[in-house]
Amino acid sequence: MEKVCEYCKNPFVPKRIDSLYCSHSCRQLAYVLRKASTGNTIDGLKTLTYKPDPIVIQQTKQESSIEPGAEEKYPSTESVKTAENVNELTDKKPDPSIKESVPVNYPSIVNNETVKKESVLPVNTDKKESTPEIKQVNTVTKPKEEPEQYKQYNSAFLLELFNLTEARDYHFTLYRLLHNNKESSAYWISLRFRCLVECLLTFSEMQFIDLNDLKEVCNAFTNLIQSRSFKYLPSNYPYTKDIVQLRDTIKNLCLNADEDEEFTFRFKKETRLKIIATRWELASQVPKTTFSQLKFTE
Amino acid sequence: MKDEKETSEETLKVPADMLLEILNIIAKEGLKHEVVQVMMNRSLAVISVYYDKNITRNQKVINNIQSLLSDYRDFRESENEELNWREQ
Repeated sequence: MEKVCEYCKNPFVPKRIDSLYCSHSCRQLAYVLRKASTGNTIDGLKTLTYKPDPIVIQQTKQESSIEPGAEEKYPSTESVKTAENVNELTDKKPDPSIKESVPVNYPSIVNNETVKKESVLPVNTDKKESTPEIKQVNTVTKPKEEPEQYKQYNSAFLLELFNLTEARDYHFTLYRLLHNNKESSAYWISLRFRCLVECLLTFSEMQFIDLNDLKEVCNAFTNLIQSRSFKYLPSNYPYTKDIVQLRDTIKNLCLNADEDEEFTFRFKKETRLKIIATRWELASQVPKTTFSQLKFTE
Repeated sequence: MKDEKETSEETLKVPADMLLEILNIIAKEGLKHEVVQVMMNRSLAVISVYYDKNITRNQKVINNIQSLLSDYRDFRESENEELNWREQ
């Protein structure tokens, strides 16, 4: 079933039922746009200013008719339109004071109904009629209280993740190193590094893992580090140190783990943030490939 | 006119990284909820949230939560989820 991408509005066939965007880049751009559109930051939490729905605005405008006596003070939208039309016919410049005096959220004082009720003669019946309430002309009523603003909740975890990727700003470097450069050593390493990062993230979300799986990943890291491509990585490649550090950490874990016990693999929060950010950055340039599809030796 | 309560159910898959924050929002907004399932091998909790459709604020809270989860998924997954890292 075809869907329309929420960012570029182009039709696409989603891989998942809940897919909103046609591509990774659209997803990222929509995310950046969404973040940029949120309001000021207060105490680390971003807030969104409440904007009433368009339907509500329409209703308010329709309701906001004004007492005859008050029309000079608060002309309705319709009366402004009429004034503009008249001015068009007579080639006169519109009176700016008319527009300026239009209240944005004028409270609803029933105008037309009052006029009708006053112009129609009352008919006496047996039933007690409630006398129509005559509203005082020129009364300045209090404006409607604005609905309570909805303060958008934000996630501290996502905010940290977002700030981390913003601060590192690896996107441009990766783009220059990897885009249309599939033969480069940086691409060869990045493709494999992304795969290993995906594996580690999956491991960290499992209740228990097989220690041999972790050892296999550790060996893959070692092969990667020993590869020719790794030696010829450009100096500005952003993950050179991270790859070595990760390998060392996993190696220590594997060496110290008890093979007979069930093994749980978890990252510290900071490392996890870094790994998720790395995965996200790499995902924009290299495809996801499964471990079994890749060779880690050249 | 009588206002009828229209209760809707929203099922959310909440990752462990976001669990406390999402539960905090649900609790603060006083929404009725239930933990339906805990997926231990994926660090996910499946939570059903029940809310009144006629209350705009509730709808906004649900949209807010979904937006946060979508942002997280964008960082964490981007593409198709794969349960087994060896498969395919």
